[in-house]
Amino acid sequence: MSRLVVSPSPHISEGEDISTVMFDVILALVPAMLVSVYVFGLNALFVIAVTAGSAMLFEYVTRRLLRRQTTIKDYSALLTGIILALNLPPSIPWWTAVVGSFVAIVIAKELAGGLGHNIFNPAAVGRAFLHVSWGVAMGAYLVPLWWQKTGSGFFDFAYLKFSEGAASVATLASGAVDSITGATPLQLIKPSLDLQGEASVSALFFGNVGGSLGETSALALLAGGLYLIWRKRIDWRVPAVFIGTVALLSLVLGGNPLYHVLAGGVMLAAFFMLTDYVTAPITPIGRMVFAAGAGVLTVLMRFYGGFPEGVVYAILFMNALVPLIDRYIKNTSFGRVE
Amino acid sequence: MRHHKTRGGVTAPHYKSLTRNKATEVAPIPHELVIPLHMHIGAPAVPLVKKGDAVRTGQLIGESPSLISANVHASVDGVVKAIEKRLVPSGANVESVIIIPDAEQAGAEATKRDPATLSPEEIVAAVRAAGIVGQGGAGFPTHVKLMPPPDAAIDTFIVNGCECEPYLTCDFRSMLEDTDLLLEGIKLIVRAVGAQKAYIGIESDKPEAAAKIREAGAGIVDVVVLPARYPQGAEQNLIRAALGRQVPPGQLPSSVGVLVQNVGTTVAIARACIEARPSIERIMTVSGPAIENPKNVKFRIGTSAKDLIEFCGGLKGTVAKVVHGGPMMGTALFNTNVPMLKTSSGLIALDHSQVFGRGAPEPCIRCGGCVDRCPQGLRPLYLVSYIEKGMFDKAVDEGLMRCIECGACAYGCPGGRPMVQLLRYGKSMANKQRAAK
Repeated sequence: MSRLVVSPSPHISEGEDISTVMFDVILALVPAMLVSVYVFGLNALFVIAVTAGSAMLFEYVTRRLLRRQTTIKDYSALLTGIILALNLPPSIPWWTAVVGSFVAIVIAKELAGGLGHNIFNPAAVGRAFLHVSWGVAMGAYLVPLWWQKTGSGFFDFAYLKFSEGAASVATLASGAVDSITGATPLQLIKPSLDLQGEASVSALFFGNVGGSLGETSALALLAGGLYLIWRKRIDWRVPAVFIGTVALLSLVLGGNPLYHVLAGGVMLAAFFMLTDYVTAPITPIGRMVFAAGAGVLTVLMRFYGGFPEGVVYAILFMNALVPLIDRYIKNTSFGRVE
Repeated sequence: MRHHKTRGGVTAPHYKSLTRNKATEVAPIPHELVIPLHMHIGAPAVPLVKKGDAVRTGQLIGESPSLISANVHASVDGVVKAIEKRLVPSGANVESVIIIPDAEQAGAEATKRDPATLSPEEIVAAVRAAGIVGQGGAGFPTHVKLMPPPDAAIDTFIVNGCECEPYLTCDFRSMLEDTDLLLEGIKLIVRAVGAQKAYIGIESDKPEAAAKIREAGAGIVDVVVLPARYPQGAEQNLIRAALGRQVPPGQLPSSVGVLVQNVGTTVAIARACIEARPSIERIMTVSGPAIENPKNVKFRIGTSAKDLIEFCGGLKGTVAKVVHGGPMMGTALFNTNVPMLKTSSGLIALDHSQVFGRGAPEPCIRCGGCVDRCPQGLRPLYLVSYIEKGMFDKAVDEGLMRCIECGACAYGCPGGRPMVQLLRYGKSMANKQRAAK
């Protein structure tokens, strides 16, 4: 008789590993990635590829230098790279995106202890770093389908257009550069920028607006998010409470709740960033507190803060509070005594 | 009857279709039986026979020396070959009575008593004499459970017909095939402890059993259909789901006025009271992808796993593990030459892909799945984290001792982390540290 394996119970398992989970999330982001390529041309694919590729490269090299096991195969670096790319404007220079990957993977993730140990969402840290370091490049937004107006068309590279020196956000936002730039929906409603106009709700929903690669089509992100909820990869409470809080608070403060939910990074954050396992609380109630806090901060920053969009900072702030939330909120259901 | 809200657990594929519709078969008497004198919680039984003695089926061969112990009986007519230490499924070497069966088996004398005439004391005495222990797997001496202390009176009796472990169908078959005895057993237990109400918890994947007992047991027991989620059959879960009562941490069900017994144990109690039949046989499920002919088998206590596997056509394919019990909480055997006991509910042969399908454990990604799945409301990832760092006191404060080691946490862990192993390790270290103080 062949030899029998002896190991502790349980002897069966669901058969998943981290790469299975990560892959599902990447799959859920495919609609958003496809939309971004349609709206911003092949340039978008280039940004995604550079960001994700450099993220994986940085993880591999860093772990080798730190004498840790290689973890590229778990797809977590790939996912972080994709999410970071979706947070970047299509006109970002490739080397800026690479710096963002470096900050996200090397500083926010690996030097914090590697997968499972980081406190801050790596993609959010990368984006925040780029935002404060290269504010202009990060604030320049192309209009949707800009490539239809250029000579090379779909295959045009946007950042090359802006490499001839910096221009102010207002200039770029007013469309002064070859009419291929324009203000994002949130820039339009920011009082301090004093711009005219507003995006339509249907444009916000389907993606016919400017913004970061992942900020355009709420529909694509919603589709991906619902897929993840169906597959039980993310807790439905997080997007529900976050979106609900953003809508409610923006309504109370006199804004248009639907506009605020669909514009900017709310949809991306709701389904793909606040739901990041490592940097969110581990109990359902804890997650709801986390999502609500992020929602309040997002709206306050949009209305009273210095920037048109503040989702990423809301995420980072709440990430910092997660250890506190987990310490005090245990695994209880409403009304249950434990 | 509707059930109360349940918490945690996993809905796992149950693979019961391999054996659920197969009637129980009786295994042949093997060439040698090894009957351990200690297959229960409590003190080992004291042997009453010696080498060379002839024994009859049902004869007392080991006497319980104290209250929390159990009698042991000969399962066959035969001759005692030896009394020596033998390997048992847990990996320990336990003093056992080795019996070589006679070629001709006369069998036990058949007696018949009317259960309605038995007083509570007589019922408990019959159960004690028969050496009945919990067949759900723990092996607690049943007569002790039927004698709750005066300050913990029992008002409700629940039969555990959940059988939540994958692959196992022996309780299901018993509910269909031994229905009359089961109902007699329920009535006897209710009378023995003075309960006012009896329920039977049955998972929703066993509608035939629920229907049969609902019809035949009207007026005797109420059927509560529960979700088919592992570990719905865990005692505390069952009580919570059926009655909405929470057993306080560290306490027994009697503290909330409840008694729980497994289906097989209840049938055995009926047999002990009515036919004076001691605990000498039981039903188990032999199943798994690496078994040629999966079956529900009725066997004599002391038959080896090897014999039962042979009865089911032997192992096939790339067998990698043989699990004694269910696949979630059972023990992996390294040698199938071990006797099957009063508590042996299953033998599951798993193949290569199920055992080696996963790579090395990965870091915890804090997905919170274990927190969602834990039926005890614990946060396993923190428990395991503390244990890995040697902070056993903090783990105990976090609720380590309330862990029932069901394995729901580990089952769905994307990192494939050895959670139950670490939890068990943590518990033993915490106990050692406490004892040292």
